[in-house]
Amino acid sequence: MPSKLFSSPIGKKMGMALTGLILYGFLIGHLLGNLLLLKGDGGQAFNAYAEFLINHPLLIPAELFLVVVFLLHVYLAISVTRENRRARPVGYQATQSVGGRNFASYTMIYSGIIVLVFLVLHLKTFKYGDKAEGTLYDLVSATFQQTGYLVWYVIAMLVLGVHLWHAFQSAFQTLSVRSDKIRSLGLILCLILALGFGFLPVYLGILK
Amino acid sequence: MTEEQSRRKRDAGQSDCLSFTISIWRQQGLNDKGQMVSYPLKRVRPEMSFLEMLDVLNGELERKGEELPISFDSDCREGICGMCGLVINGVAHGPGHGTTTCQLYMRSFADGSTITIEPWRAAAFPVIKDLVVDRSAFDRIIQAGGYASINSGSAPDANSMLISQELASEAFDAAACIGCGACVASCKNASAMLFVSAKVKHLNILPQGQPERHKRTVAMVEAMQQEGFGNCTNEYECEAVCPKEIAVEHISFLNREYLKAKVAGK
Ligand code: HEM
Ligand code: SF4
Ligand code: FES
Repeated sequence: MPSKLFSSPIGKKMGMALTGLILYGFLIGHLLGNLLLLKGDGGQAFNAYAEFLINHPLLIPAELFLVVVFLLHVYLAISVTRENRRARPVGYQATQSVGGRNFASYTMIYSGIIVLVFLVLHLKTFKYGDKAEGTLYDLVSATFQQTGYLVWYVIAMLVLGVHLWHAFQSAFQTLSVRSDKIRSLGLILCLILALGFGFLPVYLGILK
Repeated sequence: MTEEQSRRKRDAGQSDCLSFTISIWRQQGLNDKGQMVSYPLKRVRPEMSFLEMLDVLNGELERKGEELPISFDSDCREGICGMCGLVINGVAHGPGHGTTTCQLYMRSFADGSTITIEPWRAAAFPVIKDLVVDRSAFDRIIQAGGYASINSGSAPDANSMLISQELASEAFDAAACIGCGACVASCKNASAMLFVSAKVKHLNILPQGQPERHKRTVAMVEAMQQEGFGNCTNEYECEAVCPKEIAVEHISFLNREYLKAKVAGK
């Protein structure tokens, strides 16, 4: 019977919450690393950091772990969302929110899909991008000179922020921790992440 | 109109009656497609309950004899049986906190406004006719584990099982759930987590509920899944409409209990 844990409604939600929080952790680490772009040293520190990661023996296992966690999150998200649609085949003529439903909470699957598309493009541009011409820093700087790319990037980060806004308190509620402190922390974190990731390209592409 | 306004109108010799356009879901049977139909309704007294207003509307429909009266559920009409669930202007049990539809009064609605009335919507609660839904899915969840097997042979000694006042109150808060289904109706995923969590908690925290604790939790969650209710996405619409003000902390409790039961190998 314990095996049914992961196909049960509660098990699935706990899976989503755990995978989501691990991804959250990754985002925080990633943002901290990217802050090196602000150093104004022509990218020396940033390139050194990238070099350090690329040569780290644990990089491959860490990447594999993240890929599995991410795919699991997406798989559970789709499964949960489909079940939820099936549970209400006929909707209401009049709808009104009187509880905690908000823009972020009812668009989770859409914000998630945009993040997924973003991530694929992001990896293609930077991780597997053409670095023959120069360093990673050069590639990043050059990419954000393109206005279209810059705009899409900033919008995607705002969408990520919306996803994370509902996500943080939701994950903790699922895992049985509910408090106003968690709500406030979730709001602060999603603002830091969305504005942080959104500001870097603006800095590199326009301000610098 | 407040009681005060209505009294003043009456004193001045004016009618304090309200009129509405009632837009209501009509469906002949399980397999009928159904549609919204509008009825004008005059001479509604502000102190009438919502169900009395529907009785008046049905009286008019019967007098005219063109259409069958509107079917809706009700029993106690005093907020304790959970039969009278309606979605009113998009809100389960309508405006007002901690009240069932039968405890809602027409003074809560603006004179001349349109009131939209729909049945609970969920795959697990099929519409039988007009506003009446089949909520037997809840009964099957209760049958799966919402009981404590107690030897009822001879009466136990008084105070042989000590239960603190705090614990008794907490269990009673959970036991206040009347199984109305508003939590399901209001949830965008038609999730029954608030109902199940209340039922699980009120037995799981009492000594009488201990022997079947883990078995109960798992059986009720599985029954809930089998009935086709959706998954909770923590939007807290359920607690906002619950007439018994069951809080979403009960859902956190259920999640914890479920994990404990799984760890215990159930
Ligand atoms: C870096 C990327 C992501 C992070 C940090 C993240 C984080 C989270 C967290 C913490 C939750 C809350 C879990 C819960 O409600 O218990 C969540 C929910 C959700 N995520 Fe993500 N997520 C990410 C990407 C995605 C992607 C790519 C998709 C979809 C394709 C997605 C779809 C969803 C959906 C639909 C929910 C809502 C589930 C629900 O409310 O029950 N997420 N996410
Ligand atoms: S939890 Fe509240 S809304 Fe849900 S069935 Fe019980 S009383 Fe009704
Ligand atoms: S008729 Fe019993 S609660 Fe409304």
